[in-house]
Amino acid sequence: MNIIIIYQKKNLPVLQKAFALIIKSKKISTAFVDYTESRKIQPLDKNTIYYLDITGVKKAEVEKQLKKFNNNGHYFAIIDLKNSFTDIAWFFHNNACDYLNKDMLIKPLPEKRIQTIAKLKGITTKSQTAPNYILATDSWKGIVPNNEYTFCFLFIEILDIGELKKHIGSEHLNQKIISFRRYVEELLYQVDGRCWMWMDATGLFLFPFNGESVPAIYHAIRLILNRLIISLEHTVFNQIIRYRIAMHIGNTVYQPRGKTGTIISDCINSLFHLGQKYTDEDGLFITEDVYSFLNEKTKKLFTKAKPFEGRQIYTLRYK
Amino acid sequence: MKIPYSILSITEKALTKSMDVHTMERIVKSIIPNYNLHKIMGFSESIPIPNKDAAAQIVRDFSESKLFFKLVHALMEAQEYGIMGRRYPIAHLHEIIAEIINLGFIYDKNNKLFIENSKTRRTPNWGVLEENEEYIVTLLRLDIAANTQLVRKYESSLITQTYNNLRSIVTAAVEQRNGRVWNWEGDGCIAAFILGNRNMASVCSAIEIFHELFLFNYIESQLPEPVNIRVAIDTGYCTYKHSPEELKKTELVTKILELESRHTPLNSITITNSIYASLHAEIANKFTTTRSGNAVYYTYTIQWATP
Repeated sequence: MNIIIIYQKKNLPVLQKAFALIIKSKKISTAFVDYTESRKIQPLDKNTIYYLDITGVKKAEVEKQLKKFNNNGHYFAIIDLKNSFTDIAWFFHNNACDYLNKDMLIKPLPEKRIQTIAKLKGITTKSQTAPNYILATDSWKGIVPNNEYTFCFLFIEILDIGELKKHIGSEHLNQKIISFRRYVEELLYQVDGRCWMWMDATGLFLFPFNGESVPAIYHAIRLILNRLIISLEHTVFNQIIRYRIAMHIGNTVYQPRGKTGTIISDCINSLFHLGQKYTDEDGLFITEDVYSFLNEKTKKLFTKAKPFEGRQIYTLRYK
Repeated sequence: MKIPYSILSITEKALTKSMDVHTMERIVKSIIPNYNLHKIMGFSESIPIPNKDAAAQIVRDFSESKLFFKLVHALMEAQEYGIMGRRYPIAHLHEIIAEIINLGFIYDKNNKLFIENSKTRRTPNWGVLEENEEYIVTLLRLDIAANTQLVRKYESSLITQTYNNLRSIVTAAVEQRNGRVWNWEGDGCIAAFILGNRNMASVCSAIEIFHELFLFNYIESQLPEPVNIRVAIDTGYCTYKHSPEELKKTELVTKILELESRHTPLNSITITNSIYASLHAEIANKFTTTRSGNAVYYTYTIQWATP
């Protein structure tokens, strides 16, 4: 099942802490969406509960939002950190399935609470690890926006940006990142990879998954092996860069590049976590989903690393 | 290569407009020390030669002796640095250079040479190296280890296909860095680099070859066993020879063959001190020092963490 928390900007840290246990859950996929962006959310399946943060929102606006949820048949819950609404029962009369105020969010919410709601509402809480691949026919030609597909995701992030900035200045750093990005784009394009998102020094590439193999793995290995050469020959200025690559196979609704702001996807979330929170080291890290599609020879290049968010991780053995 | 008349004509004008006969002779003698304009033109030493005639004769002689690019380079130097302390602004110099670039050449500042533009053509001598002339070159020697056993053990079609793939990997890595594969034999090759930072270029080529071959062994190769190689790199003066057989007899080639066969472990790159000294620090860090008698070599091998 999915939990989508529609937050007011200033409340995000509080809500992230409050939902920390639920974020870690293997059975629940959690995503945070800014209140101002909530109109653009792609409707998910019926196994989703929307937690709407109404702190500081006028009653008329709240009524409008609730009406929308009810019309769409979506499950929703209320977060009111300032206790600005006294008639809490009114929410439940309008089909809300949970209510949270500041006092209730001091400690992280237990997963059990969500499971109770799910049980009451008949929402299924299936494990996220069960693969359910949606293969696109004919690679990119068969991919239509707004539809869900299985992709191989490649996350890449340049490390030590602060240090690099000190050495070469922000203008030169930008040029370096642009040249690196261009090189990676050209390289991954050869195996049908497309840059889907790029923010500062972080990129996310998509490869339509064929259900059989992960050709992108060899280009990922190539990027790691040739890091020094790439830094010196394919990016501007004579400065070596370090980067980390994380790969995963999972499902997401596809939207063209530039229109990805409203996509909520568990696997993208966990890939970014893997890329940014798992380790400080550079290198190539793949999930068990990717590892299981490698041939025996290639598997030997990887070694088991510590699990992360319920998934076994493997890392390239190259030093 | 035949120089088009249009370029010769502009050069003739450039010489005529920019200097007197005496200066022309001085420039020419810096390239061909025993060049005697009066003798060639049949004038006695005491008779002055008209500027236009002298320029026409010099351009014609240089065009025929294949030293025309050297003459243009000397004119560039005369404008940039001067002769005997005096700079000579050369008329039409930009036009001459533009025409040469149009012919498919680029100017290499490091070597002060016009060389062929690799986007338009690729010849083993970059279009400019001359037979029996000495140049500073960096050589890369690659050897396929246990070649004889591989050839005997497997079908020739399988070996041919595998070696063709290896050849593509090597050629791509070398030519991408403006190097040239001078000689392919059954069990390996010699590639040369003369342009830019040729030592770095050769080492980067070698590292890329290793990585690509490593992936090739893992992904594409149909051979039941991996292809192993040894690579050695050295730099120094080398007399250019068109014939591969003659080239093998030159000192630098002999030296690099020995470096590869005696001092390079399997699946490693060995470089000499002079190459090591010109590497980027982080690339140099990847090499480990090995000693053999008084000589110091540096070796690179792909490192894998133990599972």
